[in-house]
Amino acid sequence: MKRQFFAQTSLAFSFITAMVMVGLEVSPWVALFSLGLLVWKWGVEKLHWKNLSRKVTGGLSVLLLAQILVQYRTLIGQDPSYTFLLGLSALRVMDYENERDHRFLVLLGFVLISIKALFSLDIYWIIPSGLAFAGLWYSLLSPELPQRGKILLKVFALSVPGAVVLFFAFPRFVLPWAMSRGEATGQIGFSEELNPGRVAELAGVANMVFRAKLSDLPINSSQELYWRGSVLVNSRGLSWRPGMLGVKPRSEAENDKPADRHYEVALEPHANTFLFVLEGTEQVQLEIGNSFSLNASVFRSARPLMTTTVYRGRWNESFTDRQIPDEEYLKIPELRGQVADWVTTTKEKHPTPAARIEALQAFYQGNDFTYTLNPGAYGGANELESFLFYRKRGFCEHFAGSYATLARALGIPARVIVGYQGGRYNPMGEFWRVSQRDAHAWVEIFNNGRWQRVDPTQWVAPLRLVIGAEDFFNLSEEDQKVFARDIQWRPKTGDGITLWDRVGFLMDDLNYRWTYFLVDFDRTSQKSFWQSLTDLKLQLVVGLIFVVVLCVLIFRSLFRNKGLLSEEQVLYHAVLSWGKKQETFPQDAETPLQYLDRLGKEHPSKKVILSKVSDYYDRKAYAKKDLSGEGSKILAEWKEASRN
Amino acid sequence: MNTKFHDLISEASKVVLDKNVEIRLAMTCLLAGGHLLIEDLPGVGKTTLVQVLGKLTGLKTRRIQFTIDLLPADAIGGQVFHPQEQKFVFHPGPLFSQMVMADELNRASPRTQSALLQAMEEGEVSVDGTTWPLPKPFYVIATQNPHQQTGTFPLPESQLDRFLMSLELHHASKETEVRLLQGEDPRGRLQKISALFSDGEIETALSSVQTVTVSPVVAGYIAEILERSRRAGFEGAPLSTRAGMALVRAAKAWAFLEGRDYVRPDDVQQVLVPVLGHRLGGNHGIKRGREWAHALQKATPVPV
Repeated sequence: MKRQFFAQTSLAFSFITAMVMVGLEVSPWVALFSLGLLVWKWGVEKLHWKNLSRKVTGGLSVLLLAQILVQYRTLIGQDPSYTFLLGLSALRVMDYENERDHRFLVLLGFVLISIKALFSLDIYWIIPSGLAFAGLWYSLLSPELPQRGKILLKVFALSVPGAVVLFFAFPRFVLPWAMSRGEATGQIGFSEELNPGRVAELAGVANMVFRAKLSDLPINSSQELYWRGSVLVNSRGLSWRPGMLGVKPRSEAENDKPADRHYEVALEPHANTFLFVLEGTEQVQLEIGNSFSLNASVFRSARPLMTTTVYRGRWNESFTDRQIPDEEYLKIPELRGQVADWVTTTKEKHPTPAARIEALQAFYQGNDFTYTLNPGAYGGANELESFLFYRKRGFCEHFAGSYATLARALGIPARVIVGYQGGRYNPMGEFWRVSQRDAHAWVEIFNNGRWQRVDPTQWVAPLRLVIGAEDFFNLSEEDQKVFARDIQWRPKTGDGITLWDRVGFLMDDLNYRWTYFLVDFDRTSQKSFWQSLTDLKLQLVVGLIFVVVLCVLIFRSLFRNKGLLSEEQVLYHAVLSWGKKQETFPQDAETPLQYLDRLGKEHPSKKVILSKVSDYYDRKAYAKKDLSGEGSKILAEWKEASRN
Repeated sequence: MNTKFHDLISEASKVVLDKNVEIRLAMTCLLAGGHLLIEDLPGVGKTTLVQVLGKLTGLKTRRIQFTIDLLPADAIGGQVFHPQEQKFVFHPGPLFSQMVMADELNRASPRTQSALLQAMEEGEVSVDGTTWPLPKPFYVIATQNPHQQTGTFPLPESQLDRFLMSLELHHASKETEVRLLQGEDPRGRLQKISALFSDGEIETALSSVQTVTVSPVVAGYIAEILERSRRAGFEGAPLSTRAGMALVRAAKAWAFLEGRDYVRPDDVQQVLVPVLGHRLGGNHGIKRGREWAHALQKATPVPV
């Protein structure tokens, strides 16, 4: 019988869900291609358009493959495989017309869901994936079955213990050829450069970067949270470059220092080695893999972070970097025009470093700077002058970059820090959520024998720091301008936390736990889990549970068929299995008596014993005579007879 | 007791040739206390069958030929005024017999049909406020022409349900037909045969059928059949519990004829198509219904 794709509701719904999940990741052309094919298929089924023949779809799939090879030059990796599978799926939907296609589509759907899961196990994907998975399963069950939903539930319920055991026991392999995205940057897009507009570009999207649990730390406002990512040393005026930071040797004394506090960060994958740490972090310990620290309190992981990574930072309130800067920290490009004039005048006016620092602050406070996400492009040799004296529109990076350059010009060692500032507190999960919106740049100057943080943004737009980036950028451009310096002002947010906020917090929390406990349960976690089993009590409990489960399973498999059978049923099954061996199979709707009779006719040597069986079965099952004991006697007789 | 029934069946088969199974089913229907519907073309031996059954069982038999202008009173009877006594006296109609052949039932008007079917259901007749019990046993064998034929009022589904079984009488086999065409007339025997049962014997048999037992296995088999008829994808009309009970009654009677006091799944299978055919068919006709009944039987595994 011919089948219709869109008439198979659960299949169509689940398969399209799986396609959409993958489709969100691919180049637009293949998404459009697939969408077009789906619409066409819909038209074929509902409006009787002409269907594509299998030859045409076959040809199209070859073309698809060719296009992918041209575009990516490989079939290995996420993007080419997503693209190919999505296109192929759409073509298979075009071909859908019978039971075999149905099964193939279900298989393909499972593959689509799995490869999506391979790269992103976010809970937001798990929910649609789970639904699509269940839907595909459901579509496999014959519509004649009663209570299909119940069967599905039963299958899932039965698979839970197996999944749990596999989760803890299945060995995790790290494949050397594990697929990469094939791009240098991951979702975060954080890079170690400071060009005008770079941070603003970052802050334009709301992707999450990491979550942090700071419950151990005496910090309760986002204003105090400066997450250091990278330190930039090479000044080019307004823009900065990283420069070399030596690897900091690990001193044993540091490790033994007591009275430290810890915090925990779960960093999203970003295909890079940055570890974002709170100011005051002395040391970082990765849950899996190695980390190392560079000079200037910068931390890196030993390998690119392709999956969500959890690490702990050791934090000390009084910790400060006291490393004395070298010449590098005073180098600046040649200053021109008004900038050079201003530097010369200031130097003459204020001989001491302290006074010069105050003069710098006064400069940023006194001039009418505008803090904006869209400052426009700067460039050329005079970009510093054009920013400081003419256009005066900038983002944190412009203020930080220019400040550090000016400070160096005035003889004060300075460096630019890029990272994140603030975050949003989730009261449900008691963690801070830091997103791309919180991207920030600030300055550290060497003063009084230690490095001190200076954040010029707080003179220009203190409100950004007080209310946090998320809320600040949600304001209109006009409001941002007007209220930037008014730290008392608050945007109208309605009546506190709304229900919607709560749902958001809850989902975010769930997602955090999900990634933290399940997705990141890798080889190391597994090892430590098994090691923890050496604890005797736990071992006993786990062992007991295992034994009980095993017993239940064995009991079920043994007694489901035999133990609950009555004597005549056991006897009949014995005869039936013999009959099947003789290739006399029971026919449709054949009654036991008819079968026994037929068997007797086909095997005359057994006729006598078979009629005895038949007679016994008849009286016991239908006449309900109490014939206790006789059954086992006849069974023994039958066993004897069937052996010959 | 049931040797007598076997004699009856073999005797009847000598008159109505090639209808062994049908005769047996007709007797089953009688013993189950149900009514029988025979659907087939004219000239296949319906009337002869009833005549021979009536004679052999010794039941008082009447035939009512249904026509479009037949009124309910023509079958039931009515009050007649007796001038001498100055009162109405009930004159029972032909329905007041033990075995009634309702010939070509579907040619009667729906009003007459429903009067008959009501009498069948209730075992009594009400005329002008007085209730008259029908004799016992009361066995109606209705015949109807296939409903595609012109001038028929097909029985509604709810009334089809009043019949325990439906049968088709096929044409005789070629050998039989050759014999008949050569001039052999088995109906001649009809005059010679006499009743095998005395008064009340049939009634006793009817009550013995009631004592036949049904084991849980067999009841479960019947329940499974009902359940399968209700599943999505099955074409026939879903079966009611009453249909299941009819199946049990018929299977009991079949088992009784076999000389057993308990029912086997085999008995259920023997009566399944006649009992369920007209119930499954609904307005698609009995023929389709019988096909569906066959399919249903084939699809339902017998519990082991």
